[in-house]
Amino acid sequence: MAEAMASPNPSGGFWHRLANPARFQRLSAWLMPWLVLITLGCFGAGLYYGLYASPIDYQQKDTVRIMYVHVPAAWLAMMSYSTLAISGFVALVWRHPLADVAGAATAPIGAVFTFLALFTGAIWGQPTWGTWWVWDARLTSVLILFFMFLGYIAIRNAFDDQARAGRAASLLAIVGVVILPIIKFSVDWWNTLHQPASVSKLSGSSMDPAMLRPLLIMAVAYMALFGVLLLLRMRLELTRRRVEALQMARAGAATP
Amino acid sequence: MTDDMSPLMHFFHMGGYWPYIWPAYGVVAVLLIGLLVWTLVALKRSRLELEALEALAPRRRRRTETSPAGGPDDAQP
Repeated sequence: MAEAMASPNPSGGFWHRLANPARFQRLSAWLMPWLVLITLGCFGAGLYYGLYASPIDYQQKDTVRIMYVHVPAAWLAMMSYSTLAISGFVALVWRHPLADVAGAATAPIGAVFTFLALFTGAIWGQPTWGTWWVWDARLTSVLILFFMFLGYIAIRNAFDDQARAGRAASLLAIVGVVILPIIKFSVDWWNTLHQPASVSKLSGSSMDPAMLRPLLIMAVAYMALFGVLLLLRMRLELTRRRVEALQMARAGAATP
Repeated sequence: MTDDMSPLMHFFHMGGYWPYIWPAYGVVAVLLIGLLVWTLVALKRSRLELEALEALAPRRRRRTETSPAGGPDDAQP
């Protein structure tokens, strides 16, 4: 058969299963319109409340509105890394090909959200702290998170063998998961300019509901957009792998 | 903030913090929409590539569509 003949690599079954990911495509096709709807609706409402229908802060004045794009970006940066680490774990332990695809698809999205958290944070820092950047624990650990996403992407591109690249990148993602508690608790463990947690606290949120509303709506919008991007990039990754497998098959057929 | 501003100007003025707020929202919009467009373009391109490859090697499809019981000989040229 063409497939058996054309797969010189030992992981022929791997490609075979990926070649027909019907279940994922069905689930993705069902989820997509809902996620797009939530994304558009929540961005619309979030921008309306965030930029217009919410009060200014008594200390920060209008700059508090930067929070509505900054804080969800930071949450999504951490959520993206969790996705990366979990898919790395599932890919390594159960050899689930879709988990490997999910990891490869997540990394660029995570890098963008982390960059946005850093960039909007710098813009917020100037009028409120009087500086764009400080080398304190919170900011530095998020910068490291950004480089970890870039490192993950670099490792994936560094190997010709897709399976080896996936294993190395997954390992990096799992080992690097220590960064998440460091980021989360950096504001408690070290002295920092960055304010401590005010939304997710044991004693409940200390934020005014009028500000909490746009923040949470924007967070849902970011999450739904993350879902849209993840599904699209997984489809892209699956198509790319099929293209690669077919090219290898042709190369194999040309030189028997 | 001055009183002679129109409501629209007042909105864009953002209490004098417009040089911070609009770039922050702008970068978020540009990068998130950019990532979405980049992904869609790459997906489209890669699907066209796959179609072209499948058209070049129709054996795989024809075998499953017309002769599912086809033996290994089918693949041999």
